[in-house]
Amino acid sequence: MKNLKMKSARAAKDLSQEELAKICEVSRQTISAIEKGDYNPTINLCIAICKALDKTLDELFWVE
Amino acid sequence: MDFSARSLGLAIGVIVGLIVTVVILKLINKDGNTKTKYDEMQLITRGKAYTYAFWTLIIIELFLCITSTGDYKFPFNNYVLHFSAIIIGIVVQVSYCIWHNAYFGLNNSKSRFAIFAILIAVFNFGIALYLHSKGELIVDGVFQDALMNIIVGCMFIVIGIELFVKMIVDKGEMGD
Repeated sequence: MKNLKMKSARAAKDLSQEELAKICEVSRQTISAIEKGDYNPTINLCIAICKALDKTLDELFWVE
Repeated sequence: MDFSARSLGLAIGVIVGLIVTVVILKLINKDGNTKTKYDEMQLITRGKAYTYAFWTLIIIELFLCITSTGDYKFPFNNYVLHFSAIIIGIVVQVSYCIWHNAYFGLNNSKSRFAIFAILIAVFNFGIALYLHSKGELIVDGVFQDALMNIIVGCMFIVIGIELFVKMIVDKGEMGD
């Protein structure tokens, strides 16, 4: 399932996938795969993404 | 050259190759580190790639075991045969990593890699050409050790082409 919440949070912060990847110390392709729903990140990476985007885990990764 | 001297020569060649690889890795990495850093998704992908390469190697070696019991003789010497199996395994691993975004690590310099890949390919083709001029590439209709240099050169060309195509595909995806 696509992670549109993460994509929109990144866009709101005016960050490119490349920039977010650099902050989280992962490759751009990993960020792309998470947003597309092709990869389920570990909790450590989820936290790093949340910190970079100033969001909580619930806000970005909780599926209703 | 007797068997032990040739084996020793090849073993020294492999050790020198490994040392050169470590030096090249140090030069390719932007931070001067010998170890390439991968993120969590890349590590998982590389694990899968190693699995495919492992089974490829097993299948080829089984094939070589079975064929060695028959009368059929390959037009390559034994060393080349088994070395080719290793190279095919490496190509499977590398190709899987390239197409699943796990070939270049976070600290790799792609341009430096390209330069070294071209140099290694040219170097290997040069050695093969030199040995061919000395008549050591094919002896009695059987390809000798020099074929390994051609195989390694071809491997780097294949990797280069795959990386180039992947780069074009990625550029298209960047717009998403």
